[in-house]
Amino acid sequence: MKKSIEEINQKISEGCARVVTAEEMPNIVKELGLEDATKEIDVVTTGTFGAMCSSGAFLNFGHSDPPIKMQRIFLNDVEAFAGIAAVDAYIGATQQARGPKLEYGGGHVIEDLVGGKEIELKAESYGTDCYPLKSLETEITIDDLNQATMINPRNGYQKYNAATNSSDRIYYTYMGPLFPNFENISYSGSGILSPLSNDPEYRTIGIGTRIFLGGAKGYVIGEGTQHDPENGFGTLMVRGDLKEMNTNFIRGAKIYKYGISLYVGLGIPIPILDENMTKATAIEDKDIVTNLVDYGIQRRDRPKLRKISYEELKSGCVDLDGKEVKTFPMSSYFKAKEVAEKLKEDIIQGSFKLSLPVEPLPRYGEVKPMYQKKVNPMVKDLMSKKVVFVREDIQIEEAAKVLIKNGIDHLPVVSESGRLVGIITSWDIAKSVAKGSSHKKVSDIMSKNVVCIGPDDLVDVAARRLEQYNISAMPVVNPNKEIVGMISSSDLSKLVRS
Amino acid sequence: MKMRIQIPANLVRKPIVSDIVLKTNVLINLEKVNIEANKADMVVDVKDRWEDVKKAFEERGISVDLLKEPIKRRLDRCVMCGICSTICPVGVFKISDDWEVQIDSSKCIICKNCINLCPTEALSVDY
Repeated sequence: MKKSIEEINQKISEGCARVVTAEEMPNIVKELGLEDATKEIDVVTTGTFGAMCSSGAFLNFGHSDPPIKMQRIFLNDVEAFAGIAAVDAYIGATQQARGPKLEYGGGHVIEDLVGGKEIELKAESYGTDCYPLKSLETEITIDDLNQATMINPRNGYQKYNAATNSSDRIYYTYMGPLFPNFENISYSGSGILSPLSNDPEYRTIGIGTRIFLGGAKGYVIGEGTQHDPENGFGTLMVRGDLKEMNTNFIRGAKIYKYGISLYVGLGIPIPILDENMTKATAIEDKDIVTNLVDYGIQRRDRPKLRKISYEELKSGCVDLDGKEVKTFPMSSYFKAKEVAEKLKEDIIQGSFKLSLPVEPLPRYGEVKPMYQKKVNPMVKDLMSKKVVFVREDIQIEEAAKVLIKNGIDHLPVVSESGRLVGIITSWDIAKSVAKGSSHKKVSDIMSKNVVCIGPDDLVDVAARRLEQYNISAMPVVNPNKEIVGMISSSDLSKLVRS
Repeated sequence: MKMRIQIPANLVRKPIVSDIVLKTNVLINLEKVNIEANKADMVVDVKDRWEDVKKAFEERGISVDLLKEPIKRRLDRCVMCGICSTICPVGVFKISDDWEVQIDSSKCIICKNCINLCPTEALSVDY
């Protein structure tokens, strides 16, 4: 049983096409079997609604009088890329506003444009004979623009790594707040409704495929950046007309302590051309498997802890080495369903026709890491390996003597079994003496919540941590919490000297 | 009934809650307590006879706000992602079977963690 795209579009025109969402498909196939489901169903709609950082829009403002060659452009104080022709710009979703408006950014400018709000436009230039104007300030709405074309370099991830955190600190990431010691797991993507997961061989999704983007018609214009088909992490580059979109499906996002992004609603209709497409769209959450990744390791190659399915992630609770861990979504499945339903409705009403790709997406290839001429050093390359530490049960006076004898300010404290349990500084001892405190033992005055780092962490991570906690040195510990060194801001300054 | 209790400087060091528990014979659950040198701010939950407890605080010159719906959501902003569900210590937010984020405001202790976390600034508190 085969159907052509023309036959399907004909049925859509006649109002007799049978359209279902990818959520409905598994049960239909179970009930009817592959053959009958292929006859019965014409189109399966998919949808996703997530924070898609790699998004933005090309804007053309029209020419001012006298004309200006805009060299720097600010929209509501958010800088847009101006390194193209005189009055063209690209506003990127993650660009943050300059000045105090840190919680506002490119994603919000795009939402405000789509919402028809007035946007303050400021531009600067050096002035030329053909473009004499050197600065400009005005207010515009989307209606004043010649073109407002959304071009998103990477949207619609086939699936996305789920995130957790092994470290003893909370990390605020683009995957949300990740609590210490594997206390939570975040995930993104719509699983069963994910467009590329419903066409994993990219037979119907390719260059030229008509899609739903931000409430309007859009197109796939190629594979997305970091397209990683061999590992099942395909991505899409898409275009759409901002002027036709609506804020129900385009929404600025502020990811707490991370930055700005843009929620994009994206849906793709999949034509049921043959039984293989029926089979592909019958995929379920349990079949869509991603990696659970440890974001507690601040490296490019974060450890993959295990495989995890969208069924597990969406259940709200995951078993991680015998421990029940709660999950939370970064993307909205509620809105993903709305996208798939809206697309289904549009097709049933005959206002959305399907198109096949003019070129397929690449099915081979993987993402390469960055080529770095010089590899950044690790903590173990710079740390002092000679470490002085004391046991927690010694007297404060003894600890003071150790500090003076060794000419150091930081003294890690270890338990009987040699594990790091605290740290004291000369300041802690001075404070205890000045207060006339009755404390005797080191364990009474030490800081128990010790900021530390691993030997294989990069020095840049160490520098960030020292700055974040406003400290000048910290112990370097192995996974058993045994001290293997000390790293201080003066150790790090060796990098500058060398 | 959840109440927000604001204790003025002159009463901060007095054992007011214990006193009221003993006098009214009503159990008071302290959900959030912030004591500073010159003021204290608490959220308490009282299951039975909360009117008596409210009166007892007010008789001592302490202002009481009833927290009927402390957390508010703008439905035109909320995208039902559910990030709020991870940060809430008391389970105000629940993702329903059809993926709608539901709010049980009566559980809220006004820690305000969700306010900052919400990506679309859909949440606010009046207190």
